[in-house]
Amino acid sequence: MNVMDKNVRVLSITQEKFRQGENVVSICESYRIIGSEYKNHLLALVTSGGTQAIFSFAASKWIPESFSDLTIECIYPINDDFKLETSTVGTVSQCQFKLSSTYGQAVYYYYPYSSSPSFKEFAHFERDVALAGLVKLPQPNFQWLEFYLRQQDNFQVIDPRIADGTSSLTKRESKFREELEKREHEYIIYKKFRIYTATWNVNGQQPNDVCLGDWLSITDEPPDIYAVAFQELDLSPKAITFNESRPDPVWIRKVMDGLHPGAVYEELISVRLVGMMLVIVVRQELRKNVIRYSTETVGTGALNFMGNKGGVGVSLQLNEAFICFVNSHLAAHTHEVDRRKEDHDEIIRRMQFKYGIVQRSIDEHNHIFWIGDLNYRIIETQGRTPFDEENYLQLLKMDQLYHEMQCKRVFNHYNEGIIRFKPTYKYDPGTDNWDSSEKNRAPAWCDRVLWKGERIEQLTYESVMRLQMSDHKPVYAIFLCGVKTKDEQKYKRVHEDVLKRVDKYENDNQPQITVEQTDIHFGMVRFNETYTRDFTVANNCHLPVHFTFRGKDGKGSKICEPWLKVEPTQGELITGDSLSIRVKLFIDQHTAWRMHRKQKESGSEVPLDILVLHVDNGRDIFITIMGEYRPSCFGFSVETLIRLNNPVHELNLKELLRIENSIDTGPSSPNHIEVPREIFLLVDYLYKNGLKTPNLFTTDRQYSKNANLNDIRDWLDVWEPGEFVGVPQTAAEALLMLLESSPEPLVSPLEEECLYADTFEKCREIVKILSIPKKNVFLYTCFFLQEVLKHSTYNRTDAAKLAVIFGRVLLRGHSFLRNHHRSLSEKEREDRRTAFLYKFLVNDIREFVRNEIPIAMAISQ
Amino acid sequence: MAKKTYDLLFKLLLIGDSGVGKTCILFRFSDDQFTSTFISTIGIDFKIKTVELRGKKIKLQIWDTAGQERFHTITTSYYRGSMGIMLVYDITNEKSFENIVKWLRNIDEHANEDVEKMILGNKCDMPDKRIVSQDRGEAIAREHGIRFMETSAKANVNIERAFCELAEAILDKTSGQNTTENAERVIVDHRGQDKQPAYKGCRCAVE
Repeated sequence: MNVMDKNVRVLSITQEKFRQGENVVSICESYRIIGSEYKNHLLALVTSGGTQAIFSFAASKWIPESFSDLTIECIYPINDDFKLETSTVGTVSQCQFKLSSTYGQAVYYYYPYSSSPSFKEFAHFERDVALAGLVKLPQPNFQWLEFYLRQQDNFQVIDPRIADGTSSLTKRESKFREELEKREHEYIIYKKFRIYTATWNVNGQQPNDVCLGDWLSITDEPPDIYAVAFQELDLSPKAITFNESRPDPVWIRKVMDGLHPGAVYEELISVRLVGMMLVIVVRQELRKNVIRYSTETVGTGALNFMGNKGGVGVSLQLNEAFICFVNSHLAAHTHEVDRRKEDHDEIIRRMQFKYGIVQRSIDEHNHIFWIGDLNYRIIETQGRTPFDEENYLQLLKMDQLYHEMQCKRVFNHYNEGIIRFKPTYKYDPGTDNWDSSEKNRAPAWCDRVLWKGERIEQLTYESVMRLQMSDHKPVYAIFLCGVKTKDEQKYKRVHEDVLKRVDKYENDNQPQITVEQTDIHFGMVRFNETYTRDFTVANNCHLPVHFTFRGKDGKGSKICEPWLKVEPTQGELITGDSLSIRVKLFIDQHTAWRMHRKQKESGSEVPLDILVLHVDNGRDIFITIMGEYRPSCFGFSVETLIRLNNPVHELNLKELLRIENSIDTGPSSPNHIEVPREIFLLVDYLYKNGLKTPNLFTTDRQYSKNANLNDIRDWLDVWEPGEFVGVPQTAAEALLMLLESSPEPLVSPLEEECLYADTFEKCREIVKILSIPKKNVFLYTCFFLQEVLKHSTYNRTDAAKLAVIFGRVLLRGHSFLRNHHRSLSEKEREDRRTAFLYKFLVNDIREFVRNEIPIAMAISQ
Repeated sequence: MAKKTYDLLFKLLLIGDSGVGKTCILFRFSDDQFTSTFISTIGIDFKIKTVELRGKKIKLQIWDTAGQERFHTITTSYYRGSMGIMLVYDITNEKSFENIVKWLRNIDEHANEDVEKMILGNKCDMPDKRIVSQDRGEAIAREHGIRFMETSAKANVNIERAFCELAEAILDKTSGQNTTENAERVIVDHRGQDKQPAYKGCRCAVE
């Protein structure tokens, strides 16, 4: 394929994106800068049924080779809203332009030269677009676009920046606003409001008997909104010094009295700064449509602060539009054009309307009306041209404001209606005669009304000669203004629909995680052995996810049973990532009895635990840990062990638990023995083989991890009379583990009382009332330990050390069970446990043992 | 100035035996879709849907729970905090109906005391396979003073209505209205004699 073929293909590929009757006229290559990325875009000018639109395509491949490489990213119908702006003021690149229309706007960049002849150079493309814009059908029909707009909606793209977590998903609330805004054209209408603006410099005069009806009520139709501006209400030094800002009730009364009699009006708000006052009045029935408003004053007089010059303003929201009225009195005198510009700039800079924490500048309004005594004069040429009463409009060409605006020095983008009235300044008060005073001021159009914004039509722009009390004549201008308004019916429908979409959006954007398997099988598990299983969690959704294993009983609770360990317990996964989770199972002497309670049924695999995998802002997944626990003698009470007629090996968990549960109620076993065989076997072995072993018992339990322990476990579980399978040290550790593994400590339920028994006498009393099996084992153990101590020269142990080790095991207590002994610290508890046991190791207990359990003596001898 | 897209947020919960159609009911309500492939819910899912009741926009956050026996203990920890609970059984499955009592007990033990409840007899689009009569469903609801409806997620019968009524009951409670009426309202919904009896309307249209 040669280069030319390839290029022609781009146009035809693009054409393939469209239906019959929709023709791609022109394509142009461009790029957008999103974040720090440059993304190629193909712009296509498409025409159908006499209407045109620009489609902006994101391209997954550049240059695109198939229509599937192109995705519609935005559509710009060439309608009244359409704009292609090439202004490069203050921009990054000379080669940039901005597209905006009903459904959105974006900045694009183009290359100075096209990379292939298939693309039109930007200038040509721009010309094609401009030509398209010239075609104006009486009723343009853009319905063909709906098809693509819908497609765009349903197309859920994986945004790589969201997927990898660098950018976050649009929040529900913003999505809602965004959607509503996108569909504004469906429910927004432009309702016409009649706005009456008026300005008068009253030269410090009191209103007295003046009637403002001549100024404010001279139209047939009653206006909807009045903005009445005054200057020089009060020229007193006092007012100026104190920056008088209380609206003048006398003048407001006058205004209210002079309004159009055809409607009922209400003063919305008035704002004043010294001589300047702006009174905003609305028709009563419209008051509720003014959703909010705010006022602001800017003094630009002496010290750039005093209010003898400057401006006052009112900002208001009427339906969906923000409207701003500014009344300003700019610097006086013919030669002070620059001062006027400074005042103007200062007002624009400082007039920030406050809406809560948000500030709104003058320019941030849909409709702006700037009125007042702007004080612009007629440009003086050599000497003053005598005022020509017939052709005064000629003078307008010499109007300073006109010139300033031409040069874009002030009031940028503001409009003014054609002036057809005489200069409004300066007259001898009480007359229509030009100033005859000594100063002999030249006539000028000081008092003006300017506007800026969309959908504003000026109906009238006039002065009123009849009001003569001031040296200025009042001016007024009437406007019809198309105010952005919601059609409530349509809005309700769109709103409902958008809500539905937002719900769907929220549901569709739930972070999801995939778990390879929700049942984790461990199979047969045994005491004191470690098992591990791994499973994978993956993120296959288009959002990054954060997951945690969650506690089952609310915040802070353990995420799993004590015999399990899960790692990691939380994690972050970006789209496409997966992570291996390791579950470790280890049933030790502290947890075996708990496992027994958990596993009421045995035989088949049952849940050993259920993990809750929680995805932030999403669902919870239950992961069931399955397994079958094969019990050993560890984890049963001494009461249970003495009742066994068979070794544990020959019993299943169910049978063992039945025996354990029948202790209180069931008949005692005929083969009832005094001390569990398992304990006897270990003690007996140690008695015969271990008394002289150095470090038989150590406080740090050096042999607790020894693999030999599991051989001993199996040996104990079969009651084999055969040779012992371990060494004295591991036998000693096994003994400790066995004593430790019972569901309750050997001194239960008196473990707390033990801590407060300060004499040997009291200690013995406690032991006396223990259950017989517990007492037997306790004394049997102590008796054995005394034997150990007899050989301390060999085994290098002493009573204090043994008391610590066995105190921890035999007297272990659940401090959390008994609140009233909370006052003891863990250290104190340990010391007292040691002290308790110590008494049984250093005192002669033979007599005591003989009285309590004569048979036990027999065993050990 | 983040405008909230709703006035109230109600948290609802769907419970009931495995396979009675809780997920389908939720899917029908939130997405207006139905799929007949059975995928057991292994965990807790939720969907949201905003409804408008008495001029108030109410965002319903509906939690769908795993129905399998082994998850019963764990799912009860999700009861607290929910304002309304749908107890679902399958009219073609006797056991699922009998278990309603058990589910009610679970609610008593684990849910907020003032939680609104509603019993749904789902799959009423299958009259041939029906085992639990509508009368039995009504009887148990009456006995416990709970609302009742027969529904079909497949044929889209009473789904929207069930959720709206449950939400409305919560709304009554939260806005403090109808506190005196509540005593009557809790019973199977018999509205106005002049109108069609209310639960006639709940009767499955497919039958």
